[in-house]
Amino acid sequence: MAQEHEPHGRACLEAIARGDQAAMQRFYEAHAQIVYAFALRRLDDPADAADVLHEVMLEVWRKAGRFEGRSRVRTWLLGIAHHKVLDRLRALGRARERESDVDPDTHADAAEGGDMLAAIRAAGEARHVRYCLQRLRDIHRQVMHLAFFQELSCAEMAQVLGCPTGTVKTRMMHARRAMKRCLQALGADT
Amino acid sequence: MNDKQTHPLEQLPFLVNGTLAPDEREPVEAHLEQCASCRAELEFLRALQNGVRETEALAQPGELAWQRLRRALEQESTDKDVAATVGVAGAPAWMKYALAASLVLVLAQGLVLWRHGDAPVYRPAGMQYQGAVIQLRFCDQATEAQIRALLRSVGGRIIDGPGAMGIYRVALDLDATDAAALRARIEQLRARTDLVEYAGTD
Repeated sequence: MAQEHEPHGRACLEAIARGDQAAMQRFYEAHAQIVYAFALRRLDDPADAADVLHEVMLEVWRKAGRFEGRSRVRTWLLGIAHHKVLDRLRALGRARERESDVDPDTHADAAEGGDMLAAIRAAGEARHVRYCLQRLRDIHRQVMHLAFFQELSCAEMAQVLGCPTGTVKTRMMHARRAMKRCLQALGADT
Repeated sequence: MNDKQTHPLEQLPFLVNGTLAPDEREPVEAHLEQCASCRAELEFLRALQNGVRETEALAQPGELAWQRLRRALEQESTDKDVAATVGVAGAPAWMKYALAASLVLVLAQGLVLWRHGDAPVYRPAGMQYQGAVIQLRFCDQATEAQIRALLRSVGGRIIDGPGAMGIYRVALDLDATDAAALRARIEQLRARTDLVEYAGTD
């Protein structure tokens, strides 16, 4: 992944490290939306998400020279964003969910079976997906966002979130089952 | 035997987002050819991905966000230029007075923050410290109040971060050459495994 060519990636960061503001603008235009969407998904407040975007991009401006190319630029950037979001949650007095807070998935068997056609039908409508995403636990909404919007691999998600890949897989499994249950219920009603 | 052992359900989200390595993808695709329930799951996940993309694409930071950043970048560049100019012998007298006035303001602000009971343990990034500086990473669950109390207990102030790895740079009220005292503070921090994931020299 690290070797993959990314537009406005490493070369852009090298220019930013030399103080090139035009390169910074190109980098911002290429990445602002993904950082903002990531922060908004976690903080659920446009003003807080905008502040995090600002802090992340300032960090890029100051630390671009420290990017070592060991990961994709997107993964590095989302890693910074993740920790800025945690900082913001701390400042807001909102504790981060612990993995142990997750209830055992007592409906697992039902979710793996159930009315798959209803789930697929409901998943085809963005408003239903949006409704169900909003009802997910934070940590589960986050993995849905990282996998399906940011298109990160399991290892990249673990890097961004600072947790083992096994934890990512577990969260993804719970998230997938919860989304399916929610969408099955919506699909059955339509 | 459970689903995890018989069906590659854990890999399907990553097949859908195109990030499975070829050696991971091939057995999953072979399984899919023979398994109708996994093909249905794949169809569900593809529909889900489209819905998530459509939803997340609505989040836009707005035009003003870049303007705000641009102003901040220009301010930082100006500050650097002024600092560099003042450092040169023969700088204009007005600039020296301006710098002196700025320093008084910064010191006054620092005093006010220091005297305030709940003052944050943060300092502006980029300041140079003569004392010992260490790197710290806190547990995700650590609250701001816990972090503040911990830093106060070791005489520390955050001067930078967090970066991509969640690392903060923390200045300690120690002489940088006092290696034994520095080691003791780091050990003190490492002992707080409930709050600190990593503590080491800068």
